[in-house]
Amino acid sequence: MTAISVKNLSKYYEVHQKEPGLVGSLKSFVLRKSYDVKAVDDISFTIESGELVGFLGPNGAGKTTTLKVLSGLLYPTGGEVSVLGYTPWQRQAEFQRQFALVMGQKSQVWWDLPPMETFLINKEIYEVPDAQFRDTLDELVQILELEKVINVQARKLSLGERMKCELLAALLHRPQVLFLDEPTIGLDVVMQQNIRNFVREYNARYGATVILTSHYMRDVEALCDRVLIIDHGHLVFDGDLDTVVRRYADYKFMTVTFESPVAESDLATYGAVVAYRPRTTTLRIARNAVPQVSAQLLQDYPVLDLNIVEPEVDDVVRQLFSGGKPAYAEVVS
Amino acid sequence: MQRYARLYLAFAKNSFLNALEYRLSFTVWSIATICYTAVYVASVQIIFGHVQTIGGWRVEQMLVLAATVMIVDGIVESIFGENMNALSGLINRGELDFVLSKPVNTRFYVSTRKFDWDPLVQVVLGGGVLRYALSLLAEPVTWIGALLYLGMVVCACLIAYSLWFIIISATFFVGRLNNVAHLYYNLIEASRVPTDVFRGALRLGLTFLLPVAFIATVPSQALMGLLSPTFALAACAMTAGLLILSHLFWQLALTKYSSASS
Repeated sequence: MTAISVKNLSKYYEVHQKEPGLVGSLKSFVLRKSYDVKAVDDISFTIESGELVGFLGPNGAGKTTTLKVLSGLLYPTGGEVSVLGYTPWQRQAEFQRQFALVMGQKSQVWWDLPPMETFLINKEIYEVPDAQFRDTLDELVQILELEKVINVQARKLSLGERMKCELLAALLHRPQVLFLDEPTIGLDVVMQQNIRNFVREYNARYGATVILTSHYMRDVEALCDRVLIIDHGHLVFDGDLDTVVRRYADYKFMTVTFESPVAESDLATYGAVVAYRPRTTTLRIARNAVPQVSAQLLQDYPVLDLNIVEPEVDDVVRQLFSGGKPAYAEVVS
Repeated sequence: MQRYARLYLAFAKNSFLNALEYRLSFTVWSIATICYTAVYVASVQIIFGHVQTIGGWRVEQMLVLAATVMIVDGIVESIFGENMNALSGLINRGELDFVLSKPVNTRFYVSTRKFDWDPLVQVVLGGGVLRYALSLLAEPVTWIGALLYLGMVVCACLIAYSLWFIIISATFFVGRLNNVAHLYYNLIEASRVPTDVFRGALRLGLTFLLPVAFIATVPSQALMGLLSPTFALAACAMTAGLLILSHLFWQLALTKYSSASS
């Protein structure tokens, strides 16, 4: 069953451009130049119920804008959207009772009170029956390990604890569709892992449809079989993650520390030198050549340390569309 | 309806718990309000040491007016004040997102989420001043007068809230407005003077354009049996008109909402 369908969705923002300095400000006060920024430009996709899909893309790509249209926060400039059969921006209560939005950068938990009080407010808003509320709360508190936290003033919690409470607050009404906008931002690795595990478990347990946006490749790697890559408002890839990484990030970075200095020209034979210092050098090496190259290096030189990392998702996407133009349509009004 | 009553109870309870977290605030606010009231009542007495009437109003009538301003302002600030002050920030920082995504009337949520217990002190003190003023009044207050007063106070609160709400909603269109938001406080200040003091176009303007008259002058007249039925009806019409206007304005503003960057 299709849970979400998006056809030719566009969302343009009007922004004012100002020249720097006082004169620029005065000019812009009198005569404003405005531009349409195409945050989302003609995007189409469908998501089946129960799918866990990742939105990838650099800052300003249009991920959050798309999520906001899907949650009915923004009216689109054009296109058709259906979530669970509803048109989101009509904001019907029956629709709103079936989804939840979690934003890593914004908080819905009342700052001055224990999270429990926010949960009780949400219980009233979503009209959750007492028994169901207690069951869900107990279950989620246990999975998220929040026993000691829910009765402490929210502003005294750590970022990670608060994020977990944000998730709990959003899930008390057991939404069928969950929009997660960078839920792991600013969290340490352990907490990121916890949140990921939880999202996977929620998806499995309730069969919920989940869309996740993130800058972190790891989040998407760990959770999503399918990714949508958005750049400059365009949907540039829709498919499984293996294909993305194989197709667009067919290399890894290898940082090697040697016991004694090694010449750059010698290292260039192993791979492209990205950053060179006599003792520590970073090489870019084709994904499938990594085992041979590392073995060869270890054999040829006295190596103190060898570290292999995946390219950043931003790099992958950038590389994907480094030839692309910014999607500005200049309109002077 | 019942659901919203329960929700409102939950809001009020949370706000009360919140107020308990900051005990000192309530104490400081109370002391400040008591001092302010004393100075205000004293200054009215001093002025009337020099004149018999102002715009036809005697000292006890002026005190009724002063008490009414305190009561109306206290109620509006308790129920809506913190919310109105927070709303502009909610819009500006894009935090309205959470409200808009919930199955709840958005206007109800943003207008009533926080109940401020502090200004209730002002309502209580206003009641005290009113009692004192009534004891000085030559003619006793009738039951009809008292009922009409309650009705007019409710109208006054709704008028003040609607105006405040419209002004803050304008943030949707311009992104930020700091000083215009103070218009409510100017409205309250202006209503401390009976509109009978003014003449001609100014008086008409302060009645129907910027409805200062309905905040305190009209309720006070109602209590003292000085209000014409026409004005009572005008107050009701003004209330209904502003409630509808603010609703339409809010709906329009929501379609303009482009939430701040994530």
